[in-house]
Amino acid sequence: MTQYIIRRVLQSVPVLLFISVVVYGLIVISPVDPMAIYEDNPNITPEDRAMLEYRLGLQQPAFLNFRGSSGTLLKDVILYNKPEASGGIEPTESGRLPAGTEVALVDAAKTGDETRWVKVLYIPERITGWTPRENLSIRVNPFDSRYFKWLFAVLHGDLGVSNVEKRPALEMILERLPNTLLLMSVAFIGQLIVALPIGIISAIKQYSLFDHIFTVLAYAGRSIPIFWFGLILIIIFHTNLSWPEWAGDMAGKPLFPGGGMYDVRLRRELGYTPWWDYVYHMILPVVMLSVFGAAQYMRYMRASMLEVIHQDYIRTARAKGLSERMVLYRHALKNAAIPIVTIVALDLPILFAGALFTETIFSWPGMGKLFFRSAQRVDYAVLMGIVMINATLIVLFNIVADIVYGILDPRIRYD
Amino acid sequence: MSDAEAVASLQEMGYREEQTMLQMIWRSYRRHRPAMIGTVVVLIFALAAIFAPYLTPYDPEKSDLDAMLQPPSLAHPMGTDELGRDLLTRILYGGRVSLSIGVMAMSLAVVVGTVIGGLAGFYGGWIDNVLMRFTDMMLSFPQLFVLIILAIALRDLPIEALRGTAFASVFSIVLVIAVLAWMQVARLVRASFLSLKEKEFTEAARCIGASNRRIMLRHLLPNAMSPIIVAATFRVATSIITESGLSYLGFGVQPPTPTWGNMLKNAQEQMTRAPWTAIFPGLMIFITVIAINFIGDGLRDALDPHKVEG
Repeated sequence: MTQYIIRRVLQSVPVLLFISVVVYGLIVISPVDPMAIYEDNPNITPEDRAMLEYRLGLQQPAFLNFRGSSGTLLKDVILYNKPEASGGIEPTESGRLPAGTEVALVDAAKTGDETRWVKVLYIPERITGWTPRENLSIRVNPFDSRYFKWLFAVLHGDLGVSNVEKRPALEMILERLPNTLLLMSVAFIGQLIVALPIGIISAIKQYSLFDHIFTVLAYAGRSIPIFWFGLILIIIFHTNLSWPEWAGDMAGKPLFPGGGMYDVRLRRELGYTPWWDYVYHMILPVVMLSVFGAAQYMRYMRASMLEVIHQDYIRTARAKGLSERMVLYRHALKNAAIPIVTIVALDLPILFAGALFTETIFSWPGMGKLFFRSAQRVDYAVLMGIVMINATLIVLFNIVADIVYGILDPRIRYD
Repeated sequence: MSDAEAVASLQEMGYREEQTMLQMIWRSYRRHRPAMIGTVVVLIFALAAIFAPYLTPYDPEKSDLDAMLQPPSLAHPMGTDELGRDLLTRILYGGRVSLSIGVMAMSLAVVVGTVIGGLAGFYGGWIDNVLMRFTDMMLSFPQLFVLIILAIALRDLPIEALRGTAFASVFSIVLVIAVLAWMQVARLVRASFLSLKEKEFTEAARCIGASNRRIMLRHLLPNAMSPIIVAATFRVATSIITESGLSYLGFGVQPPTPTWGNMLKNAQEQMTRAPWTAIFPGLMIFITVIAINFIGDGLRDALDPHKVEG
């Protein structure tokens, strides 16, 4: 078993690497220019922009760096001889000249004979004395590229810095992750509590009115576009329905809040947000988020239960005189629940995807909304971070599903 | 005894005329009531989308500032949007885009899935290993997140002929959806090819010297058709949902080309004042998806060779 777990974990490493390469590549080729937001800003000079572009690493190759070894250089990166009389300014190892220098972008590189060359990306016109040297051969590590820098940083627990908010991406994600997990776990538990009993009753009372009604509802729940369902919830419960007369202070206000995580005014009055305000704000998003899963599990539970009910061991249990209750809940349900566990774990991505729509519609400050905003602004670090966190969770839950399945069903053996 | 009487008495005894395969499938499909309802609904929607210009006097993209955000009326059965455009007209034209994206994305996904699954199942060995590993990896992508990034990356397809036309964003969305939709088909096709290639008729075909290509296309593929058709049907429904979701978020088909999804995006801002702008486009997606799912269920039952028909 331990061996099996180790093997599965090791197998998931190349999968995650593959995902990261593909997603990184997609972001790199996307036609959205991360520098575009600075284009119209009059406070940002071309020098600043070049410096920023350089700091963001946008000039560097995306995956593999062959630039230096061939001796040819891209036209925006020209090697310059350092002038003799540069006023004592020495390029520092990190590549930046001391503050106040007029050379905007400088990068140091060493050649074999220990001569110092300076790679300059932008030189204001008034600076003279820097002569371009071309066809230089600098040995460059092929892994000295944006992707590998990102990868090594991630392995050290650093997801990089958001190029929009200039804050660590990890910090931004971790700030919102609890909100998403709260929403998701409530929806997750909620949909199981609603769906499983209905599925069981549907199976026991197959073809009854109850069964028919929930068959239709489940069908609708699986076909409804989740984002539209959210909009409909807002139209009904926020726009059209309001608190009745007897509700005192609340009378006339919308029955449910149309978005957000807490009431701003209430928080200002009390200085904190009571738990029931979170619950109040969570009801509509949770309903929206759980409808698909609830419909799904209802059907799975029904099918699984129906299959088990007709097994021989159920007939045996009945034959030896067990009460119907005992037969159904002790013998049938236990076996019928096994496939459900796997399906539930594998459905995690659906919940994450649903959270993206739910958080966007209900302005819930979670990871999905952060992803949506970052996608609009092509915020590399945050996008990569969220995708990789999700991918890791999905891979992890796949493994967990298999292991739990093996524990619950002794017929399954891992070798 | 006349011929007609003879046939009648034979039928009484339980004799049925020989039926072709298609007749049998149709007979069973026709009996599936939801599937028939679904078929009629989809046909009506498709015809309405095709003949949209003849069905409505309005222009789907031209704004009419005198008729902004009007509630449903006789002149505008579904009301108008924030630019005074007739909602029904936009839904009809949007149906063209949404439905064709669904069908095109499905076709692309099914072709890719069939080729990959077919090759893997037929050749086995390392080809199977490589292709299926790849399929598994594609399946572990966090779908929606990667879809969005993919949609941004492929926003401007480098096809000169299409640049700037409405087709550019339609085709890139088709591509985006198909890239992440072929894997289930590949698995299905691989599984049926694996079992079919061991059957006697494959051996017979090999004995008379049929090439691999011929065996795959003429002998295996037709026999693997049923699950492919069923999966393809459901795939149309999921593709329509995916397109509308992406367009709703603003990463799909770009306005002014209407699709049911991007109509919802516009509607969100007007929702409180003009709920009809949000209700109708989504309702169309909902009904279409249910109808297609019904058709899928009907086909699954009708195409199942194990189901004994009375």
